[in-house]
Amino acid sequence: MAMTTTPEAGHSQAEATYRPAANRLGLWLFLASETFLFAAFISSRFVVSGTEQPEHLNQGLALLLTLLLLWSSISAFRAEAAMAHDNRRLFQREMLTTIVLGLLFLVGVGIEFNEALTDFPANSIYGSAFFMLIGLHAFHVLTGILALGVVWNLGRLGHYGSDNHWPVEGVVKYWHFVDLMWVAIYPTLYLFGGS
Amino acid sequence: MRQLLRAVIFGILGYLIGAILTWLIRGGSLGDEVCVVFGYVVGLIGWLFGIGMGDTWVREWFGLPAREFEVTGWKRYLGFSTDHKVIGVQYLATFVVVLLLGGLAAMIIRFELAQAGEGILNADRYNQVMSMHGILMVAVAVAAILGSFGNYLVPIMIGADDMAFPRLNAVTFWLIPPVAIGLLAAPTLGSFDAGWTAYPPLSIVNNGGQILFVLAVTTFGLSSILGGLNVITTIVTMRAPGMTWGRLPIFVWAAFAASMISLLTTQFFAASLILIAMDRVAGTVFFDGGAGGDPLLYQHLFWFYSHPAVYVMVLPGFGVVLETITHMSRKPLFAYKAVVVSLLSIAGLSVIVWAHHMFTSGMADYLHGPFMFASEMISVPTGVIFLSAVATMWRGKLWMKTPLFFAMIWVFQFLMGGVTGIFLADVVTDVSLHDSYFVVAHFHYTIMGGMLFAFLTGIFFWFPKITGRMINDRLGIIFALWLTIAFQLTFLPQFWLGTNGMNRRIADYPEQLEGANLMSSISAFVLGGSFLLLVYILLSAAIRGPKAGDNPWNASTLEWQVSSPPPEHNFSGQPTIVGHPYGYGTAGSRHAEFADMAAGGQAQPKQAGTGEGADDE
Amino acid sequence: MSDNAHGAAGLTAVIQRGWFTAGALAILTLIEYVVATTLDRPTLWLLPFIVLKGGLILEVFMHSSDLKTLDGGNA
Repeated sequence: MAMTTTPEAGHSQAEATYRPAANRLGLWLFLASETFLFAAFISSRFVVSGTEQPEHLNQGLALLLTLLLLWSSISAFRAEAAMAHDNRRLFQREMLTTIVLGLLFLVGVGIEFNEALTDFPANSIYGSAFFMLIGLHAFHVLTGILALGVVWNLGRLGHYGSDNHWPVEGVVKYWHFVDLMWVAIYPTLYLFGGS
Repeated sequence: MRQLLRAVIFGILGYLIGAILTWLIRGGSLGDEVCVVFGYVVGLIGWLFGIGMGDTWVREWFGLPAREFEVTGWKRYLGFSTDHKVIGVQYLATFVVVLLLGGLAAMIIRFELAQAGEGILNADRYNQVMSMHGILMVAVAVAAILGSFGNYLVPIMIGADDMAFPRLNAVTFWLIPPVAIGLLAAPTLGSFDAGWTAYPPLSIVNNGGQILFVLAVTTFGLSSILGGLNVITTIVTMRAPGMTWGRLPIFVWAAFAASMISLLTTQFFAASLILIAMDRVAGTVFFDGGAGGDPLLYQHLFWFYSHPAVYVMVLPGFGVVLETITHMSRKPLFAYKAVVVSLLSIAGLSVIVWAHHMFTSGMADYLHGPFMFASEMISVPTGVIFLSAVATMWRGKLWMKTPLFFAMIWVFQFLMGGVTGIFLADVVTDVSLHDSYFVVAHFHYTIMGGMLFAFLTGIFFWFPKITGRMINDRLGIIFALWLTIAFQLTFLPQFWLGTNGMNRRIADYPEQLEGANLMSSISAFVLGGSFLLLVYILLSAAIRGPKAGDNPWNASTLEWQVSSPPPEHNFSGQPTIVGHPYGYGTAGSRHAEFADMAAGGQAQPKQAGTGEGADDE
Repeated sequence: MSDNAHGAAGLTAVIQRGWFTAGALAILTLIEYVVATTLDRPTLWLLPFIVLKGGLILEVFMHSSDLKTLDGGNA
C-alpha cells in the first residue's frame, strides 16, 4: 500500500500528480465524516419529535423528489461510465441531465418549503427538524450541482480522459452520497410516522 | 505578505457584502444576528479566496493554471505555503500566542477569585472572561500538538515528502485566523457568557457575541475535520517502502488515533452549534423547552464530540511523551503493540462515554450505569500507556535533559488527573462533586498536565530539529521546575475547595474559602510568570542558541536522520524502512536506509553514538 | 470504475448494470412508500429498505469495493 514518491517532484507537481489512492481515501473519509453530521441531525429529529409527523404532508411531492434524485443518480452514473470509456458526448449529455435534475430537485424543495411554512412553521418541533434536515440536504445538493458544473465544464474543455478522470469519479461519488443521505432522510421525515 | 493583505481586504469586503445584502433584503438593523451570520460566511469565503484558494483551486476549477508564488525565508510563514513544515511552524506560533492570550484571561479570573465578593469584575464580566479563557484554551488543547507536531513530524516520520493534500493542509491552517478574529471580536456584540460548553437555554437567549462564538467554533471544527482527514490519508497512503504498520513511530499512531476521533465526532459539535445558530436566528425550537424542544439534546450532541475531544487533546500528547521517553531512556518502547491497541481502543471507547458529563443533568436514570461502566473502562487502555511510559524508563539510561524532565513530570500530572477522574466517572461521588472546583482541578491536571506538558515536552524535544539550534538546558529545567511547583500550588488547593463546596463558574464564594483561594491565585500568578521565561528561552535559543546538528539526541527515527531544519522535500533520497523505530540496545538494529546518500552517511541510527546506548537488559 | 473493459461493449454492460440497480431502487422505494402508508407503526418495517437501498447505492453507484484496495479505477 505504500506509495513511492519522487523526491524531485515539486509541491505543485506533487499536487497535480494523479494519486488515486490518496484521493479516493480522502473522499471516503470526508464522506464518512459527513455521515456523522447527517447522523447528528437525524438523531436530533428523533430526540425532539420522535417519529410523529403532521397530517398535511405532501407525500406525492416527496415521492416525486425521491424519484428525481434516483433519476439523477443513474444519469450521474452514466456520465462517469462514459468518461471512463472516453465517450465524451455521452458524458456531457449525462452531466447536463444530472445538473438539470438537481436544479429541479431544488425547485421541488422550494415548493415543499413554501407549503411547510403554512402547515408546520419552523417554531413547531416537527417544523424545526423538517427545515433543518431538508435544508442541510438541499445545501449538499446545491454544492453538488456547483461541483458538477465545474467538472462538466472542465470535461467539455477536454481536461479528462479514461485514464485521468478522478474529478469526475469524485464528484459523482459525492452526488451518490447526497442521494444516499436522502435514503435515510426521506423515511425519517415522511414515512416513519405511518399512515 | 501580499496574499495576507489581500485576504484581509477580501475578508472585510466579504463581510460587508454579506451583511449589507442580508440587511437590504430583510430590513431590520445591520447588527442583527442574521446579517452577522451571512457576513461571516461570505467574509470567510473571501478570506480563503484571498489567502490562496483563489490562486490555486478556484483558477483550476475554471480550467486556468494555478498561480504559484515563489516566496522564501521568513515570508513563507505569513502566506499560503503548502510545505507541511511551514504549516507546522505556523500552527506552533499561532497556538503559543493563543495559549498566552488564554493564560492572560486565566490571570484575570484568578485575580477576581483571590478574594470573596465582587472585585475587578462583576458577575457578568466574570462569566465572559471565563468563557473566553475556556474556549481559547480548548482550541489550544485540540489543535496545538496535532496541528504543529502532527503536521511537522508525521510526513517525515513515515518517510514522505509532504502531506497527502498539501493545499488542503494550507487551507486547514488558514481557517484558524478567522476563528481567532471571530472569538476576539465577540465583545463588539456583547461577549458570550455561556462558558466554552455553550449550554442552552442560556446560549440561545444571551448576548449577540454568542453567535460569533458559534460561527468561529464551527469554523474551527471544520479545520480539525480537514486536518484529521489529511493526517489519516497521509499515514495510510504515503508511507515509505518498508514502513509497515508495525514499524510506525508511536507518535504517528497517536496522531492517527486522534485524527480518527476528530474526523468523525467533530461533526456532532458542528451540528450542535448549527442548531444553536438556527434557534437564535431562524426561529427553530430545538432547545426551547417551552415550545417542545429539549435542552438535553444539546448536551448529548455536544458531549458526543466534546468527550472524545479530550482524547484528541491527550492522545497526541501520549505520542509525544512516549516518543521522548523511549529516545531519552535509550530503550525500545515497552509493549509497543499494547500501546498501539490502547491508543486505538481509547479512540473507540471515547464515543460511548459522553453522558458521564450529564449524571446531574436529569437524563434518564437507566443511562447512569452503562455510562459509568464505559467511562471506567477507559482507564484500562490509559493505564497501559501509563505503564508503558514508566516501564520504558525502568532501568533505562536516562538522559536528564529538559524534554525528559517534562515527560517525567507529565507522567506524574497525568497520574493525578487520572486518579481524580475516577471520582467524577463514578455516579455516587460525581453527584456531589459535579460543577465544583474539584472538576476544575481535575480538568486542569488532565488537560494542562496531560496536553500542555506534553506540548512543552515536544517543544523542547523537537526545537533543535525545527530551528537547528539548541535550547539552554539549565534554563529549561528551571522553567520545568518553576512551572510544575506553581502548578501544584495552584491546583491542589482547588481539589480541597471543590470538596468544601466552591462552585465553578461563579465569581463569588463563601468567605471561609478565602485562604485557599488566595493561595491558588498567588500561585497562578507565579505559574503565569513562568511563561515569560518560556518565551525568553525560546526566543533567545532561536536567535543565538548553539547549532544543534542533525541529531542532537542521537535518536533513531527518520526525522533525526535529515538535516536540522529538514530540507525542502525532507529527504534527498528515498528512505527504505528496514527495522523497528526503537532498536536501542539491540546490536545491528537499523530503522532506515537511504537510496541516494553517500555511503556511510546517516543511513544508520547511531545506537552507540556518544555512549548513550542502553547497555543493560 | 472498477472494471477495465474498454470500448462501447464495456460501456453498455456497465450502464446496463446501472439501470438494473436504478430499477431495483425505484421498486424498493415504491414498496417502501406503500408499506409506510398502509401500516400504522411502520418504523421497524422500513429499516430493511433503508439498509438495502443504501447498500445498493454504496456497492454499485459509489464503488465501495474501492476501499478494499484503494486502488481501483485507472490505477
